[in-house]
Amino acid sequence: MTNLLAVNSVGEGWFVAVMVILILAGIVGIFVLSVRVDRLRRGTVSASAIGQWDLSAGDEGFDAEKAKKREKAKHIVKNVLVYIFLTVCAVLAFMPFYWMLMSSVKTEEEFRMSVPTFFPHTFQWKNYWMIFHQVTSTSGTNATFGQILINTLVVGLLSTFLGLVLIVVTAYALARMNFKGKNILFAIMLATMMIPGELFTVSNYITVAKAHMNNSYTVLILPFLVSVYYIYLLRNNFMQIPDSLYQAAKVDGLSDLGYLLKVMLPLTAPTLVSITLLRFIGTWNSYIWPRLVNIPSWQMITNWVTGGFVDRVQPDGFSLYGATGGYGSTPLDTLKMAAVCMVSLPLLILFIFCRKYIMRGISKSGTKG
Amino acid sequence: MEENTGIVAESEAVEKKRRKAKAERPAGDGGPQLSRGEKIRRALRSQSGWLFVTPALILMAVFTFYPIIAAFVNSFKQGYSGMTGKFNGWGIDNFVRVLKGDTGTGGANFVQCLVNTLLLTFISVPVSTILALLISVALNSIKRVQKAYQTILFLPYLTNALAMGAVFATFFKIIGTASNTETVGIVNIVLGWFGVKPIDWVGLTSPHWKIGSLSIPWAKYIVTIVYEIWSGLPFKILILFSAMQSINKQYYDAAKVDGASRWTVLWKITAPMIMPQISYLLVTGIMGGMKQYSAVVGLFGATMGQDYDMGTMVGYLYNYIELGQTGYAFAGSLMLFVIIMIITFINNKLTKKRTTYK
Repeated sequence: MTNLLAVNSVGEGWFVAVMVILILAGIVGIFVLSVRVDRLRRGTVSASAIGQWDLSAGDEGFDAEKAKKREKAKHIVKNVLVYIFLTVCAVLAFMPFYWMLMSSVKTEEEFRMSVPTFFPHTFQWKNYWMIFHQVTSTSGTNATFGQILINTLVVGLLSTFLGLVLIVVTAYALARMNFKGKNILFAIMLATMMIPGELFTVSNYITVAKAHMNNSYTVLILPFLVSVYYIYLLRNNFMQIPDSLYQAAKVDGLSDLGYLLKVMLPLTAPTLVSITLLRFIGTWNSYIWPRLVNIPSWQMITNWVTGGFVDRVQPDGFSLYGATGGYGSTPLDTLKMAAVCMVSLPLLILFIFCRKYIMRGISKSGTKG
Repeated sequence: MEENTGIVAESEAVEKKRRKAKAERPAGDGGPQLSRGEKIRRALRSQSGWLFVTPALILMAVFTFYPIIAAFVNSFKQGYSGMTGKFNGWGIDNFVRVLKGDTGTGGANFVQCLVNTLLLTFISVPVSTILALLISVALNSIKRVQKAYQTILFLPYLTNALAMGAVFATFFKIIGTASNTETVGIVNIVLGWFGVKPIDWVGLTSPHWKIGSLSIPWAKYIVTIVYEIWSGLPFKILILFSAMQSINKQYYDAAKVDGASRWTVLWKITAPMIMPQISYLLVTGIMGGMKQYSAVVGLFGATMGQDYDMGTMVGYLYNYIELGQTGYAFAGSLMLFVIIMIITFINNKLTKKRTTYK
């Protein structure tokens, strides 16, 4: 008890100290920066400066100089306020990620302290080891992390690859070939985009159950292979390729397939990369459909993370908090945070490295995955 | 949707031009002397495009077109069971029971779900849009370390809704006692500095108002709205910030010559110039809000709070699918569809008005 209280006060001290240092450093840094910016700008008033206004016309006389100084002070105050506002927003935006990372390596006791610690005292990396061996057990089926990861990767790769082939073939036909009823067909396909996908789920659930497709990879892949939005996106990309290129390729003796593979696909590569990434992210984040149609051992990584994580006696007899007889009873938040990290970090890394392509895709569609 | 139709119209114009070019091309191929077999072969070859779209069409027929028809037909079957296909008579019984909340299965209540969805959407979307506007303006007005702020603010862009929901739940959670220490959660601690008593934000004793049979769990609403603002901001900032960056600098120079203040510039130049983006964000935000589900599950678990008091319309469908009551699920999905169509319709009207006004 006394020991814990001591730790508590230390934890609070840490929290306050770090916050105060951060805020002070931020304010000082911002002040220095804004003064420097100001000094730079005094020499050359750039036409592109948007937010900062220099109303004084020039320095003739004492009064003008004074007014200019007052103006400058006002300007600095404004700038400092803007920077403080942005810093607060940035800290709040980053806070959940920080908290997720730190909580995932804390011990459960430390996590549950009345005043939470800002930085873990003891790093319990075993949390990760624990969740890898966690078994979600429902109706006699076991879902381990390994199984779930294999499911997600297999479904993600297959649905991305097959979906891409289907999208390319369909978009090619709609963009380059002429057949009767093409425009009506395309209009009908586009019209389905207006309908919320949830409307389909009920029927699809019955369809796959009647076809005895439950508990398989097929059921996770097949219903979402065709994506009208991506077909539409790629078709428009294809149509921007000038016809003269096709004729030139023909003269050079390239077949239609060769033209598609050697000219059209390389030219639309950025769109294809965007589609690939977004499809994979969509699979990674899919939750409700796997939950409806599959038992846990056939589900995906997002289903795994929503399960309760408890202390458990491991095969080698080890347990984190002295669980006996298989499982502990209370769900442990630290283990859950470790699982959350396992799901979130790949996305974060993907975002940092492929930001351009992902943003391109999403800002066009307004939806993620 | 509005944006899509714009692009469609554009691509149709391209198509028309292409067709015209084709008509003008000299008809060199397809000479007059052809055998019948050759003619048929050519006709077939000209239709070979169908071969390419067939795989997609078959999949769409099964998983897109059929469900639309099925939803309309099956929601009028009383006591419909999807697995056996049995039902007793036609009628609007499903809709009546769904609206009355008289489904007799202990599942979610439709009116509660509808109220939740509407309230959450129409609070969080405007608030987050205004906040995004403020942040974008601030971001646009600084010159130093702009890139660094941009990167950090965009980080929540690509997250798993359920996983991050669990993180937010830990902020608000009262975990209880561990080793004789009361835990009230970080948010309660921070509020405690301002003299606010600890609130059970996400737990069983979460405060709520009662209006008839409806319950308004305001504490859970706040948690959900905070989470939705956090996860929705990066996309909105991205759209607004890039719109602001692409405004022609000449307007600002002109305003500067006229001696306009910062505030005037913001309201008279920046805001009107990014109006299309703001309306786009409002529309996509409301559309997404009507279909929200995973945020609530991430925060409150698969049961969507206590007795489904945080249920959403999409959550309602899934709830009744899992209960095996497909008739109610169909009726619910059809009502969701109608509501979304109404919003689309209103939006189309409003956008048209705005464009004519311009």
